[in-house]
Amino acid sequence: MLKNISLLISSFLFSLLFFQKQIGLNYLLFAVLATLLLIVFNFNKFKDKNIWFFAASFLVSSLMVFIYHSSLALISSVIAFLILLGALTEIKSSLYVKLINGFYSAIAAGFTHYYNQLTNESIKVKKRDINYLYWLKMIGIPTIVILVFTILYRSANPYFDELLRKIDFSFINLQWILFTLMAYFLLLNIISPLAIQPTTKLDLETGNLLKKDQIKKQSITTIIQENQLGIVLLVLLNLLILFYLVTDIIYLSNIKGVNASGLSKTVHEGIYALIISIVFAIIIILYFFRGSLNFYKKNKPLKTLTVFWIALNTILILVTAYKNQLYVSHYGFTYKRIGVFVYLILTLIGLVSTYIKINAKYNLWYLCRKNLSIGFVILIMSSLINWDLLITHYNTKMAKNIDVKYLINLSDNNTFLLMDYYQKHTLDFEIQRKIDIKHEQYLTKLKGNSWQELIYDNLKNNPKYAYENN
Amino acid sequence: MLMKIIKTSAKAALLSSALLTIAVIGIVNPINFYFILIPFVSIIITFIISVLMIVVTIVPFDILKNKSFTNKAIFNTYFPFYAISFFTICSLLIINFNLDEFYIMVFSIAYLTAMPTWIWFFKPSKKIENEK
Repeated sequence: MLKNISLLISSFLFSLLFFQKQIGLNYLLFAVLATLLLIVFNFNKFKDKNIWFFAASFLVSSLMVFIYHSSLALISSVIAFLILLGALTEIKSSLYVKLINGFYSAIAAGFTHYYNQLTNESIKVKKRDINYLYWLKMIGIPTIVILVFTILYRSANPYFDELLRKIDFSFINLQWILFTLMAYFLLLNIISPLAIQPTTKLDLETGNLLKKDQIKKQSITTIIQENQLGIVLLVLLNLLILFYLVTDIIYLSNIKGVNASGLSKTVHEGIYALIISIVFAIIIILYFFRGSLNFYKKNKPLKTLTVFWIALNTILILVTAYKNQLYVSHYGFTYKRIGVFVYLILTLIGLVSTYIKINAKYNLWYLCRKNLSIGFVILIMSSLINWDLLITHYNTKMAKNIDVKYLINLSDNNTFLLMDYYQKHTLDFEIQRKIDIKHEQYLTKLKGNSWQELIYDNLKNNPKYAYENN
Repeated sequence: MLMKIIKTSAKAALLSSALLTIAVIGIVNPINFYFILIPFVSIIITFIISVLMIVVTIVPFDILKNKSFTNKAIFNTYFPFYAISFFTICSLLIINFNLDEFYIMVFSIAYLTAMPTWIWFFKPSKKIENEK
């Protein structure tokens, strides 16, 4: 009973917050409401501190949706919410299993609960089969007959026809009713999250360590041959990457003037080379250390060469990061250049985890689990940053050359900063006009926001930007 | 099996027609008297679609059934993946049609009908399940 009342009230609140509204304050309020519902209906599970970490991730990223109103914050928040739901089904499962379980819970848990109820013996005994044919006759036949007679009477009597034409159901907002029903369905799904049993069971049974008895057995000749092949291959690859690094460093030390197109080419080519080499590096390492070679007593040279290769790849990352930084200091930040830094960080993490995997004899699942967990943390952390504002701030204050058109095309988050920049500098007339238009449009948008759509900019102290209820 | 398919399709057609009628009345304004005809026309179309959908996407799972792999086991093993795949395909199609209101309505109804259809199709028969 309490469950149904809570769900009904929450569905009405959901409709009040979201029906025909844009994302804003409503999303943050929904996050609080959903978290409260989860706590109430899964109280025991919230005794685990790890659940609070996922709940906090969800709430913080939802707060960022309100403050920055960015797509990244919204995506992070949705992912954090699904992971929170998945964590409630089984806290010990891997992050990707949590995500799948959370997704499944959000879209179909209600149906599964209903199915489980049907299979419950006590209910089955009490419940009688519904006679669909009977109900079809009881509803269908009278409706058809009434319909036919009504059409006949309308043709026969113009007053009756006129009367029927005046019937107006427009006071019923069916869209709102459907929306509320959908909200009820969503909330019903999320309050009792469900795990996908086969996947979760398999995940819980799979540890991180490579076990000698679980790997495919190879003959000693094959192991020796693989070890030799690995050594030859890694010696050559190490020499190759070493040669590449030397030429790259010589090139960088000889750079005198920074040419945009030239540097862009080298940075991006460096990145493409890096992507391919790192992916190959990880695949090759994983291939050689997939099974028996991990336990081969004479694998020390191969391990040393692998570690050396990982180290050289790390240097390659640092060199590329330096090139990117050189580019950024001259031409400022763009999303693509930030993307390069993010990719470099992720690659570095991938290399470190591969090193740990080999050193501690972990399996492939370990790599997936650790890297995805780190990826999730980076995603949540990156949602805490107002990227458009950061790019605009850096480019207008630090960069030697500014591409104002690029800054104008960013989201509304940099509008006030751009306006400030425009008031302090002399700009091209066309650029001034574009900044003015952007500023005016943003102010109009802010003023038009209903209370559900409020964002942080509405609440700023400046009366010019303050929320005005229309 | 044929009766089971027809019976489940009839239920699915009833549900989807009801949802379609409510959705159309909700979207189209003002409501015309002839809107009463919608369920009767749509039920024929949705019945045909339901039969096809059940035969193509649900019946293959029923073939896996044997003495140890009951309806319940099939449901618990495959329904989650079916639901995830169906939802993802419907969402992608909605995005593909530029979030058009009509397609949102159609694919939402398809999803909301497909899920109970699984339940009806794999509802454990009392006799067999009680024996278990």
